Amino acid sequence: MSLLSFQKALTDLIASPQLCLQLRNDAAAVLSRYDLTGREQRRLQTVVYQQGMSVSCTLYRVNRITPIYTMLPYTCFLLGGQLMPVIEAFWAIDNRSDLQFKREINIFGEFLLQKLLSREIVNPYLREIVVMELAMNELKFLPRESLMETGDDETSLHPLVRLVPFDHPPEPLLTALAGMKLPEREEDTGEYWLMLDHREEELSFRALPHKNGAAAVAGL
Amino acid sequence: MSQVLSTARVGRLYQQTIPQLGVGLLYNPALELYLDACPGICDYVEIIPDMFWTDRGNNTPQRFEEIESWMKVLDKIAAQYPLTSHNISYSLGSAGIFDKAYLQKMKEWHERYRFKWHSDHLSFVKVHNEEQEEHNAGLAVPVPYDYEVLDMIGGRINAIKRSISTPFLVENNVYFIDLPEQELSETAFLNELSRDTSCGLLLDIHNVYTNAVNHHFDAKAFIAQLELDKVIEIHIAGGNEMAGMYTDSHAGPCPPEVWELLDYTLPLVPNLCGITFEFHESYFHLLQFDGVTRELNRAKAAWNLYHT
Repeated sequence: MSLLSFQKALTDLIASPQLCLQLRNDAAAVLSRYDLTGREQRRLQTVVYQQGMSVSCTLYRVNRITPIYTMLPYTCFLLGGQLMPVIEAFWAIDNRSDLQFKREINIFGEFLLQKLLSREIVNPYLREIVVMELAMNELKFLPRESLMETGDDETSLHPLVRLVPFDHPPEPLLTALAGMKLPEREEDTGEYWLMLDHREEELSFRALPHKNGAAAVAGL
Repeated sequence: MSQVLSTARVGRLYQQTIPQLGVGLLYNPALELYLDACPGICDYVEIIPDMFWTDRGNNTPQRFEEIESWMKVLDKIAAQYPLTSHNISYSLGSAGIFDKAYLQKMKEWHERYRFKWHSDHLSFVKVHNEEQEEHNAGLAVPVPYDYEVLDMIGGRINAIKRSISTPFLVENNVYFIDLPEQELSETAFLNELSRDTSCGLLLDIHNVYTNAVNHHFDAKAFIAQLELDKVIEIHIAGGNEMAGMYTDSHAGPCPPEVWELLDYTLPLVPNLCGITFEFHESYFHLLQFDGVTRELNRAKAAWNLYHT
């Protein structure tokens, strides 16, 4: 049990600079949570003062933010200065990182959508962009070739197509975000759809004029 | 650079013989176009199998979901180059349960891709709680070099070797924290591990350099303490500074000190079968195609001094 508990304690420390500080300030309180030998306790009490622990904490954060930053780039851009506080809040709840891009971004995306719903985060474009980037990633991970063979059901949307509802005209918004800018002025809100289509090798995008138009393409 | 497959030359690891391949590249997505544009540019390609699937977690049906677009690239590479496998998820140093489903998956991949050798790190990435629930440590965390850990890792390597007959190598760590009161040095730990399990060593020269810079020891003395006839593969890479320490970030070209250490090591490793250049795709802009070729050519020139 001891080595198992030591590894848990060490990785808890690497995941939390705050816990490192707590251990510095009140070692007994932190160490009592684990089943450790005296030597293991001394090891942990030593490493929390080492520069290498700061580097390890930073590397943990870099490694864990990489999937989010890679797969949800416009979402991260829109969050701007809120990004790190939001991610810290996410990590405080979900510390079960498995470094699997697909799972990590899906759970973070759902977390953001909840925050938007509860108005803890307010951003006019964020909801539609989060939903779009989650849909893009979902399509990228699908077995495209087998779905191309089996997915031809005329009564429903093709499994390699997604329709994402937008509150703003998608084209000007996505054009601005492609240059890592916000639109110069906020367009009037309305009901729009963006169609994501991965039936070709490259994922393609098409803005539909408004939600009613979606019915016409739903059987694609 | 010509592709020199030294089929007649072999390295020896205990009772096993291994083809001496030459100079290889650790695959990353930035290399897809490069390998297409420069056929035969390297002698083998090393892959990290975990990159090619989504792992839905232990005890999940159809746990390893291979990513179709990535698998197409892998199959294309496999048709052109010998492959070696560099794993990250055996997690040899984890004190919790050893992941037998992962081992089974790797056994299937060895049958499919016929890797010339495979390897993992002297560290752990999987952490378990008392209920054996697993999560990822977020980075490769070094193990204490104690006899208890030596026995545990030896048991895992023996389990791997019972399942997969391909030669297995263990890579020396990069570490930033210094655990006090360890029972063995890293070199003594690696030497004993090799003797106990007949595993080979993957000497990551950049890891040695990184640790020497950060922990102020003599990199050549470290290398000299290893049983160098057990070194089957060498990794070379670049790094950069972060938060006041030098890190193993695979940031572009190898620094001059790594080339110097490679030149120092090569005459001492008679069973060496490959030198692998590693870089992270996010640093491709520092290399471009020409830069990758330069690193390969520099490594090939060093290799040829001892293997032609």
